[in-house]
Amino acid sequence: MSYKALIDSKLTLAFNKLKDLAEDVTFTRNSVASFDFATGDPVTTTDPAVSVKAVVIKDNKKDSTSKLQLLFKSSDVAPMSSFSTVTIDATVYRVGTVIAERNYITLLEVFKEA
Amino acid sequence: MGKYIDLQNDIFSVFAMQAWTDEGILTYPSSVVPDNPGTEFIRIDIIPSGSGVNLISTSGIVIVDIFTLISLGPKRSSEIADLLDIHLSGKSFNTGAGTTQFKGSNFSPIKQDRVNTSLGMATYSINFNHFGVL
Repeated sequence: MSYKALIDSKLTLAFNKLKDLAEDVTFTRNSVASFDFATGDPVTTTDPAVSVKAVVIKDNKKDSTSKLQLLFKSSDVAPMSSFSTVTIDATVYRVGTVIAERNYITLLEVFKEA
Repeated sequence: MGKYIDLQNDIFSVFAMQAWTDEGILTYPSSVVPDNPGTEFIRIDIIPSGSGVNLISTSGIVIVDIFTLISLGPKRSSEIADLLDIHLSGKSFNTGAGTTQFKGSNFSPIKQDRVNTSLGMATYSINFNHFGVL
């Protein structure tokens, strides 16, 4: 087994070992293919959703659930830039800034939709 | 309909025309980020920054960023700027209540793009007046 595959399988194992500390979240994406200048709207296609295990980090100091951080395996959600929303506990969040990406693990900020 | 959406429709109509799409240059507004824009495309910004002859008129500038492969040198971006001139310079467009008139253009030659260094970006800009009818 290559080192990449080994690390990937160990990470999968680690997220599974976290049990209920890691939640099932679903990323969705709308790919922008082009722009229709006649209608003034982007031409998008909805790609299949991706379900992953992620650690959901809440900012308890601010007692707010409007902004969360997610920690997950980078290879589960690639390329990150093409994903627009993520559903956590039936609540839809907008994908925000990638705070850190270290080859195998991504820390992402998400914002609750109004 | 407001003057800004009227202005936008006028300018967008240029890029919706068969004459422009036949040029084969991928065209996007600057706010739209396609997943795969390609290696030759243009990005349009409409900036209605000036006053007009009445409250529903305005003036400003359209800035077009022209992206081409940096390895191709400056020729292709200049060709695209000339194509934009053919379709915009001195022309008038009227899709709604008002009319948008383009004037002469300016061109800033290609430089290496800061984000994607395999691409070069040149900038074409053209002033306009948009006349709304009271």
